[in-house]
Amino acid sequence: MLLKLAWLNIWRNKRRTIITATSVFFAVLLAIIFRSLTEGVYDNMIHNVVSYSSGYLQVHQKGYWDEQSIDNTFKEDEQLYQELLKNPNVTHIMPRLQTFALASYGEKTRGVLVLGIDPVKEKAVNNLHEKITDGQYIETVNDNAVVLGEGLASQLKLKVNDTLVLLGQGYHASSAAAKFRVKGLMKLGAIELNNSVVYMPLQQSQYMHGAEGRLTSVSVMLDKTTDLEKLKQSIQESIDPEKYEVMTWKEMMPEMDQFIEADSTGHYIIIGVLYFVISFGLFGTLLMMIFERKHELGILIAIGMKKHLLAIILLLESAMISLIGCFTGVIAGFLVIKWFSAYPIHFTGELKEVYENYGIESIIYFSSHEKIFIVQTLIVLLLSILLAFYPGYKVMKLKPVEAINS
Amino acid sequence: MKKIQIIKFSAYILVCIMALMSMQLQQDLSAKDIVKEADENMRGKTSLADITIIIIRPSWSREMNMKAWSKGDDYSMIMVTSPAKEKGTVFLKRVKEVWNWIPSIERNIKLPPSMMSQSWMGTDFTNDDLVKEASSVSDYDHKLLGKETVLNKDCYKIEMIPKPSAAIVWEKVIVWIDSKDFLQLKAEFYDEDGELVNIMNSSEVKEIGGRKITSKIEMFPVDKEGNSTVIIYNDIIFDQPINDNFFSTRNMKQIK
Repeated sequence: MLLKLAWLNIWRNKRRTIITATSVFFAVLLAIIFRSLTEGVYDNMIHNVVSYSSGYLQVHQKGYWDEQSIDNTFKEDEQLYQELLKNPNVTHIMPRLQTFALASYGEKTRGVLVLGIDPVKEKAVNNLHEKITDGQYIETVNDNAVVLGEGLASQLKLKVNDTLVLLGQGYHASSAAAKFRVKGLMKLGAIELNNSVVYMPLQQSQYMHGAEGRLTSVSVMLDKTTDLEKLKQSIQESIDPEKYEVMTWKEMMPEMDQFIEADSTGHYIIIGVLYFVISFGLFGTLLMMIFERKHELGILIAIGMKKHLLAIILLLESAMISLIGCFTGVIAGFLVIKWFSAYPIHFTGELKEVYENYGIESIIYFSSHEKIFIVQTLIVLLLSILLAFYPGYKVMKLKPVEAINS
Repeated sequence: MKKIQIIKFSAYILVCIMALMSMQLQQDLSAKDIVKEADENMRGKTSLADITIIIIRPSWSREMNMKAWSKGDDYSMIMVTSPAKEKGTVFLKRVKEVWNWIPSIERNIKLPPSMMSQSWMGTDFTNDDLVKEASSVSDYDHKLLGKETVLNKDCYKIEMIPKPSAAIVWEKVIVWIDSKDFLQLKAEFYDEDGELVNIMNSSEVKEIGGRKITSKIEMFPVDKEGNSTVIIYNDIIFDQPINDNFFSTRNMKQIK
């Protein structure tokens, strides 16, 4: 009965209802797009960074992280791969042998990061082959050649097809020294990597270090939206905890996590202001409504309508309007995000360069995490219902005689 | 007559003074002499040694075989003969220079002084220990601390403090030298804070190549439990003449 009354009431003045619903609609839409945008940018940044460095998760020998020496490597283990890939959220795994060495060409010598990789698996994750600016990408695990960052090559004054000498520490105190043909140069976004990385087929790296069949880590790539901690738990449980250790990128790169957290705080303040503006807009329309209907309400009370029932009807009315606004807002937000997920915005010009200098794709992604929709909608809904208490309060205080005469 | 007496007398006094002085000198030199004797016992004029080095770590160990040539204080050369992957790697010491030839990359690297205190081929010995750039005789001041028994042998306990001009990282080194055979049986290395860093034990005295030497040397870093490095002398030929030219950077690349 009350519901029906409220429903009929809101459609008595269509224009007012539509205006209020629209303001809620835009509030929801804006909040969703804003959150989706920031989350999307972070997700993309994380994805970019971890695909070159640690991976979202990394499995390594227990104790490796504290002492990152080649002596703390583990044997390649097909069973471990199977176990990891069994998880539906795991998209790729990348076995790696990561060491430090001296690289020398001619008179120049530099300290470098030597990454023994599976070129095929790596290519699928971070499109390494597309970063090649000169020469070619390494094709198979036993290709006897290396690919290095452009910055490093220019420091060593070396070109494609020159011979790079690497000298480092091998497994169990053996010495690691070898010569490699430089097959290609690549431009990597992260300056640090660009100036210090040498990519080498895994088997070559293992042979050079006298560490046949051994790995420092297996990097695990996931769906962007996966719950990291939960997955870490489940992986940790599925593999031998005495032997392996699983770490998330947040543990391995706390500085990036902290950066995102600090940056998010700024976004939370902005979104807080957004909510503030939205609620005042809403409040304005509610105030107008109560003012317009004062006469009508006064008469209703005068002919015997209970005040608290009237208040409930008003509350229901605004709840309904908010729901309509939220519902349409979610649908619109969903469509907008779907569109941008399919056709992401590409930056151009200066901004593009800035992004690429940081090693991040110059693309704005939108996150389509369902959490965003639910949380943002709930916040707006809650706000509008809180505000709807005001008309109810007004009604309770209404003096019928004054109201009728106004 | 009187003149002769005076000459006689003064000669007598002179002899007395000289005798006294030489006694004094002998007292001073003795600690140094002991160290020198021990050093020469192990080194000879030249030597050609076949050695095995075992690196012991808590979870693994590794064995390498090498050939080592030396001539006096100034020249020495070490060539790795196994494992196969590192075969042919050569270290050369020429007066104050140290070179490292790595055949797999065809590079001859001159080790800078800054690398002298770093680990040599992953062992507990430093590059400096290997090439003995610092002489245990001329780069230290020696002081006899007394006698102690090590491995049931009477030993001189001698404190060696590096001279300010010598490039030595230790604050002091204490050595125990067998008083009968003049062989160093134990050494303790202390860093600049006076902390004990390394203990070196020498044992298994054997007659190899016509000399009595300690055929097994073990190095224990004090702060790393379970770590040690063992050097075993399988064979040594002493005092076979070696030309100075043998110890050249050119020859490093050729020797077998």
